[in-house]
Amino acid sequence: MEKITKINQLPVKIFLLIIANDLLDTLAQLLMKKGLGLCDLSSVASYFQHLFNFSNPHIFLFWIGLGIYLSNFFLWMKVLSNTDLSVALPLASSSYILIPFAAVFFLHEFVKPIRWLGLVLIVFGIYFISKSKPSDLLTPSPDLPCQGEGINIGDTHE
Amino acid sequence: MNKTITLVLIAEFWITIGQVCFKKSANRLNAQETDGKSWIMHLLGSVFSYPTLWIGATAILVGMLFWFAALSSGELNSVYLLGSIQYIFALFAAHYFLHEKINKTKLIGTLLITLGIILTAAS
Repeated sequence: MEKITKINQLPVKIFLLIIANDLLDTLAQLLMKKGLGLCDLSSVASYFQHLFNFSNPHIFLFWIGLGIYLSNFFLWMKVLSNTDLSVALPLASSSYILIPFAAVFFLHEFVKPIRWLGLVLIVFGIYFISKSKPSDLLTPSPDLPCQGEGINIGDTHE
Repeated sequence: MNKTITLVLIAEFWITIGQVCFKKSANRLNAQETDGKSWIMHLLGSVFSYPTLWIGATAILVGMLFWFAALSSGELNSVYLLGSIQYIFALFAAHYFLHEKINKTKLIGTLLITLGIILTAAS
């Protein structure tokens, strides 16, 4: 049994896992966007045809991106085992900060100045959420009588 | 643009359902004995026996298909910024289905993030 530490905010390790999850997510999204290009959305069939049209070399980027996205599942389950969903999800919004940078540098899209202002608000939001108390670990729900071994967070008392 | 908004909303609806299912699975995983197995083997061993994992994965897959459609109908930026609605969905879904507390700090943080995204999307 690992040492139980008193915490009232998100552990740094989990925060870093969320960031890692997010970086991979950003990479996957970029690859999928690059790989998809512009596709015909007039019907579901044409959409699928586009996805499986392997004579288009770019579509491989899409599938690599999808592969990264799917592997990210394991990282995400690790995060969810240690935090509230309502904490982990908003913290994954650091991709809102990463994506515009990536869109500017790799896809050459234009980002309006007011959007950068919005990003500053998002940074503050992330700060507040990472400071909020993890509720389900402090008050386990009835169907969750105990925490598993190896979970080194979650003292129920302050 | 309207098409993008609709696609993103449908995508986020399904993705939120999927995330709630994943979180339920993670809670169950935490509550179960690991029998000395590493965490990842513990997860892999549970994959087939947790219906919530399968329901979650299916919901996310459905959400992803709408998400890809949204991605190719607009700029990556706009699609991502519209996706912010996910945090509002998640905050309430987590409260009602997972009994997660909505405290002041969390609410302020979520609202700041959403406001930041609305600000950027409205431009």
